Amino acid sequence: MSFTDNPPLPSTDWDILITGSGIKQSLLAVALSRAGRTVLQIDHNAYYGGSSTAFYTHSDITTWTARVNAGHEAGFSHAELVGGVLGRGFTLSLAPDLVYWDSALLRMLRAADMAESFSWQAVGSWWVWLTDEEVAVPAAAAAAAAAGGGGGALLMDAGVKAAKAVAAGKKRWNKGRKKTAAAEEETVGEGEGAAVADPPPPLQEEGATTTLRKMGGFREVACTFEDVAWSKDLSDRDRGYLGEFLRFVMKHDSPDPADQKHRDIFTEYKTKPLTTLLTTLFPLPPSATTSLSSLSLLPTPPATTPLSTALPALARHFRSLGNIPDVRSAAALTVAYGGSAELCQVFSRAAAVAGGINVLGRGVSAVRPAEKEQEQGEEEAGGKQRRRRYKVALDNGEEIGVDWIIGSPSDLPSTPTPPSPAPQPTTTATEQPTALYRAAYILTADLPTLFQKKYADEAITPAAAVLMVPVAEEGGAAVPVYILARSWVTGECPRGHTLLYASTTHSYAAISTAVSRLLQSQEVPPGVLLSLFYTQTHVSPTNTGEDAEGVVYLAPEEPGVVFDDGAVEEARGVFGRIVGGGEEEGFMRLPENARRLLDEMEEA
Amino acid sequence: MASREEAGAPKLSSSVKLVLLGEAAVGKSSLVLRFVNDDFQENKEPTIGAAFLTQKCNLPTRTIKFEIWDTAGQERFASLAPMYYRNAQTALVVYDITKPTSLTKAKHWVAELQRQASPGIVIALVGNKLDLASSNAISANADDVDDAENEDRRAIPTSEAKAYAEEESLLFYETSAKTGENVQAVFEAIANAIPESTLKPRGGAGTGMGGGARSSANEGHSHAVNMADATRAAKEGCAC
Ligand SMILES: Cc1cc2nc3c(=O)[nH]c(=O)nc-3n(C[C@H](O)[C@H](O)[C@H](O)COP(=O)(O)OP(=O)(O)OC[C@H]3O[C@@H](n4cnc5c(N)ncnc54)[C@H](O)[C@@H]3O)c2cc1C
Ligand SMILES: Nc1nc2c(ncn2[C@@H]2O[C@H](COP(=O)(O)OP(=O)(O)O)[C@@H](O)[C@H]2O)c(=O)[nH]1
Ligand SMILES: [Mg+2]
Repeated sequence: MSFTDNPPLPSTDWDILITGSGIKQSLLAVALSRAGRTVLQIDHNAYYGGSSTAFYTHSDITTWTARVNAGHEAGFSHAELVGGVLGRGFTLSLAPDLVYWDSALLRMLRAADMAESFSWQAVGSWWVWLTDEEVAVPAAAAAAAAAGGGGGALLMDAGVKAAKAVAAGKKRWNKGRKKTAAAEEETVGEGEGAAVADPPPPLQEEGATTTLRKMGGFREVACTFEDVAWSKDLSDRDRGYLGEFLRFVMKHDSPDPADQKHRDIFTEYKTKPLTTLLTTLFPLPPSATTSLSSLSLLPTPPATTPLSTALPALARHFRSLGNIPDVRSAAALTVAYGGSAELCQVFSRAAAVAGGINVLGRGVSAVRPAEKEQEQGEEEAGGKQRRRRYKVALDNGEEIGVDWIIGSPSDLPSTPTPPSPAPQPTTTATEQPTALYRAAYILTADLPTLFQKKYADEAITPAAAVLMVPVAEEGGAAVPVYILARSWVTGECPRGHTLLYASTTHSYAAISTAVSRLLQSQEVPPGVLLSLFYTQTHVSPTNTGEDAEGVVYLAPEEPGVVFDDGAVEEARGVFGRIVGGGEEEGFMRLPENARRLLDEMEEA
Repeated sequence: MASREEAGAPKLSSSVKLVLLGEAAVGKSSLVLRFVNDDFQENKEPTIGAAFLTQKCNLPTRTIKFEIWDTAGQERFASLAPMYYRNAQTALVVYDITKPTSLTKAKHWVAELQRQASPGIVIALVGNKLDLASSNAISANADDVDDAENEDRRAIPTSEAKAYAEEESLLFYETSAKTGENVQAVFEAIANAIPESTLKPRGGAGTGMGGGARSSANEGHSHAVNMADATRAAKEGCAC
């Protein structure tokens, strides 16, 4: 805020200067402060988050839009605000990321005692736009399969454990359901036999009602055992292949000698597209392929996504699915109040709590290596002050001495040495698409179908949902448009509104098409209060790694729908380089005295 | 974790997020320390690691558990994040009665809260360091006694701040974190002033937002995933 104090910095001498307050910078600010280093974190913007920030007022958005279009926001271009004025009570995030249950971020936050610093909400359901022709109704195929006996393990419900329950030739799913709503129990026929304590649901034949929901042209993607078992769109043969495919997804990188078969398949098909693998080994109806690929959240269509990219993305989904307490139909979470924008703010506060200093609205104007004469001067002045590697001039005229400078290249205009080719780039940019078209929409209605609880036995009502609409390129294949819908319970909009975040490598027009399909799928198509379009380019990380000694260039953030776990690993790596010898293990660890304070408070 | 009444008739009982705002060094952290620990430290360094505290306030009609968020020093360099004041039901806007600029800053904060905060937010304007004013400058502490210390250092008349507070419908107190004068009174007044509607047990559809504090995740809202239980589940369930 402009009116807050701007006194001189409490010190001109710091172990570490961090420029910027994006995810990686903020993570490092906490980690290094907690490890006892003196940390100064500055950001030339007057807000936290950098390219993962959130906007709260209309002028926040118009200011940013103008900066983007003037070329002042690295990695962003072509911003366009359409429609009305943002009123009170909205949070529009540039990074409304999904976080998988099985993710490096969550593991790190638990270890850092920070998981509970956020309000985690469930991403409840996935939906795909399917035309009627795409949805196979496999009556004949089902009969054939009954004879052929294609029983595979269904892994969706319980992950890898289900694999043990394969029973070839059986028409029934042998995986016992752990927890079933009473209503569903009743639909399970008596025919199963008294010996089975917890009978699995029968397949279609007893007329079990499907648990898969429809919403206009959108169909829900199967996410539980009963979804697959009772789906009207799958034959038993399809179910068999699906089960086998999911087993392969879970085991493709398993070190177990028994899984050699899966590893071999992976090695053979690694560079081939996902669809090639599916059509060759696991022939599934087109609707199932589309549904599966929507779970990858990858920007490329399954026909061009190499298996080496698709499988890890699918594996993180299925390894997460069913594990979130009280909401077994969910695989992913999201952080209320703006997704990763909230992460940045909470991390920066945590850094301050651990003794770091954050300064907004201040940048670096020049960096130079400290010289010998200054060393003498300092020794005369204090004696105890060590000579720092760099002298850094800040844009308000203050000068500080630091040993380490961490930031993204765009935040460090003046580098101590001309950046040489990075010795070890920390990321590779190989299959990265060049531009991601993104949009945020504010709708003037709730979309209740999207945010309903799926099962009565779930205690958590979801706050977000994912929709995928394949939109054909001119004369080409369909490219996915992903829409992340967030309800007002995220705290990001008032009741009676919904936020949509769309992204695709196709075009702004494809986003409009996808969003209007969603709007038209509602009984009363909701109005759009405003929309913000922008293009995010992946800046190729030529300049990452450590250039001059003590200067760490962070790779640009990866734009996408899912939180990039690579950010955690990169921050961990930088932390290790800085603290060195044996202390690497302490990444983000709460110091003992702070732990005690927290515990005392909890008892109070 | 739940604040159960030990005995007697059921009383209204609720957790309330309280934030402190104001210029650096006006005594925000000292007020919290006085309220929570009944303690005062002269020239103390900011306590690293203590930026979130809880303290119960027992009133005849209600029990309020304050979840007190301190600034962690972030007010100094324009770096208080929106997450700090978000969902605050009450705010203490503090100035130093010996420092005129600090009241100007306080007024800015009040305006900002009125513009951005939840409509029902209860704001108290607090003029701190009352012990430095003449009528209060009788030293309780022999070490402090010298002529300079006994001088009346008040720079902001009570009437001026009071008139402003009335205009803006703020609670108003002058306090001393050092002597403890009026500190309990401020928090009690706030606890009394919170509208009943804000105190209703939460958990109906749509209120599932933890405050971002460590303890908020356990409130059992129907939208927030409980990471405490979740951690256990993750340890048991990781078979792959
Ligand atoms: C100076 C300032 C700046 C702000 N900046 C931002 C900003 O940048 N971004 C932003 O998102 N918000 C910001 N806020 C907060 C925002 O303006 C609203 O206070 C907040 O979004 C609540 O919205 P509401 O009025 O719909 O409250 P409601 O949802 O109606 O809630 C009313 C009250 O109930 C409380 N409440 C609701 N649910 C819970 C729960 N589960 N647990 C505990 N308490 C609960 C809230 O604290 C609130 O006081 C700011 C506030 C201030 C004071
Ligand atoms: N005389 C006097 N000094 C106070 C009082 N409250 C705080 N101080 C002193 O003012 C300084 C700043 O206090 P602090 O609580 O850190 O202020 P904050 O920056 O607003 O949190 C410290 O040296 C305190 O000892 C008070 O009521 N009277
Ligand atoms: Mg303080």
